Amino acid sequence: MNEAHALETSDLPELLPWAEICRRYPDQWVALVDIVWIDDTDEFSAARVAGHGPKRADPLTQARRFQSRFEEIGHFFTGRVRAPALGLFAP
Amino acid sequence: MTVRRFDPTDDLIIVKARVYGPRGSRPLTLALDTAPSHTHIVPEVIDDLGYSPLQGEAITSVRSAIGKEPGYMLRVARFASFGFSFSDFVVHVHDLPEGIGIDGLLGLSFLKRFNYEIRSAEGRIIIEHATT
Repeated sequence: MNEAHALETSDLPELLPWAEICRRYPDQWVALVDIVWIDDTDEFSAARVAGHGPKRADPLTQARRFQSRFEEIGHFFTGRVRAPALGLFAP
Repeated sequence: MTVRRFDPTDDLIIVKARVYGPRGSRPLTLALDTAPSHTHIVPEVIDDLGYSPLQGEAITSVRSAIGKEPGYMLRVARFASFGFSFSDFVVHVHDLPEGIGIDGLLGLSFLKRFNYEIRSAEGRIIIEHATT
């Protein structure tokens, strides 16, 4: 990391691997910025948590302060994905 | 040909996608679902991207697990998944239950452009763009 990048990122949340994000914010929605994507996959190795909360909208609202700096804001759930008991759509 | 992995122990087949709008892009998590004709995205994400229901092309109503949900059809600037991207892509914007951990459904409006193989036990999807 060069000095300019260090200064730019000094006021940002720390860069964390996904496993650590899940550990710190269990069963929450998170908004991620500065996502480090792994080439040719849809996976990422690390990101900064710009917002988090139990409701889907919570992290997006919190992450708005970063919108001028990051065009890309990821929105993910740290808990287990669960299918609704009645299915997603009623017949 | 593209191969993506998913967790075969999950209740749903989870894939990543990306929606673009006036305020940038939002990588998110969708459930791959061959039942719905459209790709569904929850309104929180669409609103955050800077779209408005006033831009909707049609008002809709869906019977879901949480009741009869109003929604609308919206043409987003770009939509991408599996490394493939489409401009002016129409999505169905409506709510989904909060606690299931997804931002929507990757439906046939996207999938019908591809040939794909879902290897559920292996947790792999093999997908290639249809040439015709």
